[in-house]
Parts: sequence; C-alpha cells; structure tokens
Amino acid sequence: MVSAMENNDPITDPDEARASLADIDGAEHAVRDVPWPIWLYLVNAALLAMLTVAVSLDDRRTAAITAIALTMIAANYLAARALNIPWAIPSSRVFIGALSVCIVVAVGALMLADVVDTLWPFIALAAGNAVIYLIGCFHHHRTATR
Amino acid sequence: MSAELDPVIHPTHRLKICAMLATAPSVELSLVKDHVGLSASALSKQVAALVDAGYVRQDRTGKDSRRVLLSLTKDGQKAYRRHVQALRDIVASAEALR
Repeated sequence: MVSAMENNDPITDPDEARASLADIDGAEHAVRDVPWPIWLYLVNAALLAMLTVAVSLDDRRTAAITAIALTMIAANYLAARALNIPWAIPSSRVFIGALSVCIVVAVGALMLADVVDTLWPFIALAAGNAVIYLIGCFHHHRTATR
Repeated sequence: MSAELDPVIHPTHRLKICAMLATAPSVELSLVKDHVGLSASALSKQVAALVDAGYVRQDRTGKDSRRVLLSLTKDGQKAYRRHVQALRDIVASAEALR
C-alpha cells in the first residue's frame, strides 16, 4: 500500500500526485468536520434566536446584543477547547450558506427595528433564523459523521 | 516558473500533518494522531522533522501541559502551498497530454 511506505524521493507520477491530493482532502476533512456535540447546535440556535429578538429592544439593545454575542463566543470557545475542536471552517456548504442567511436575517431585523414597533415580526424572524441554522447544523453533523 | 515538490513535506504522513495544520490556526496533537494513524513515537518523529525544518511549531498549552498544539509557521505555510501547487501541476500536465 503506497500510503504506508515512506518514500523520500519527490514523486513525478501523476497517479501518485492524485493520491497525495486525495490524502490532503481527507486530512482537511478531518480538521474541518470534527463532530460538534448536539447541545452546541441547540445552544447556538437559541442564542441566535435571542439575538434576533434583542435587536428590537429600545433601551438596552446594545447591552443585550453584546451580552448574547459574548455568550455565543464563550460557549463555542469553551466547547472547542474542551472537546479539541479546531477553529476551522466546516466544509458543509449548506451549513455555511445557512449561517450566512442567518446573519443577513439578523442584520435585516436590526434595520427593521427602526421602523417597526411591534414584537411579533422579530419573534417570527428569530424562529425562522433558528430553523435555518438548525437545517445547516443537520447538514454539518451529517458531513462530520460520514 | 512551476512549483517544486518539497522533500520535507513530501512523505505521506508529513503531507497529511501539514494539510491538517493548514486548515486551522492550530490543531491538537491528539487529533493529528487519530487521523494520521501513527503511534505516538512515530508521529513524534514526523513532527520533529517538520519542526526541525522550521515548518511546524509545537506549543504546550498553559495549565494543562499534556495538551500539545501544532501549527504551521509562515515558512511552513509557504512551503506547503508550493508543494500542493506542484502536485496540482503534475496532475494538470498529465491531463493536458491526454
């Protein structure tokens, strides 16, 4: 088996080069797609929903957003440290896409807060954001555990 | 000018190690060991070769010195990127000849 042999001569064979590139893909997957614990997905979804609602606050908006954002960062940092999860961008495009949509929705909610006084639109956006994020999480988990 | 294969990174296990380290700011040694599939002593030798070449940095985290974090140095990142480009060039040249 070629990969079990340590050959110090630089290769020129295209098949060996392809095998090396496949090894690289596998190694990148091993780092990008370390499985996250299920609770982390749920905590992030809940905090994201809270963040989307928090933008609608009048008085303590900045403090609330800051507190939620710091909680999110702390939760992910501590989980990564405790579970040896590297800080790497997951390879699941669905997860990245879902996260991007969630960010756009949260920013949209922030802009909406200047023109809307009622709470229910933000609750709806928060629920939608949580669902979108969890759909992304499902794909991330599936990628990480294949 | 085409990139050249790096003889330090070229061996399969070292290439895998570098590929893992190129993907994140730092990676725990235990995760590298799980994927590369070497014994602790064999992995240590491979990592030592990369450290000696100046491509990899090895740090023990603060309170828990059992945790070892590996990361690519700037020279290591450049060397790894050149090596990957050289591999791609080899494949591309072969496909162009078909």
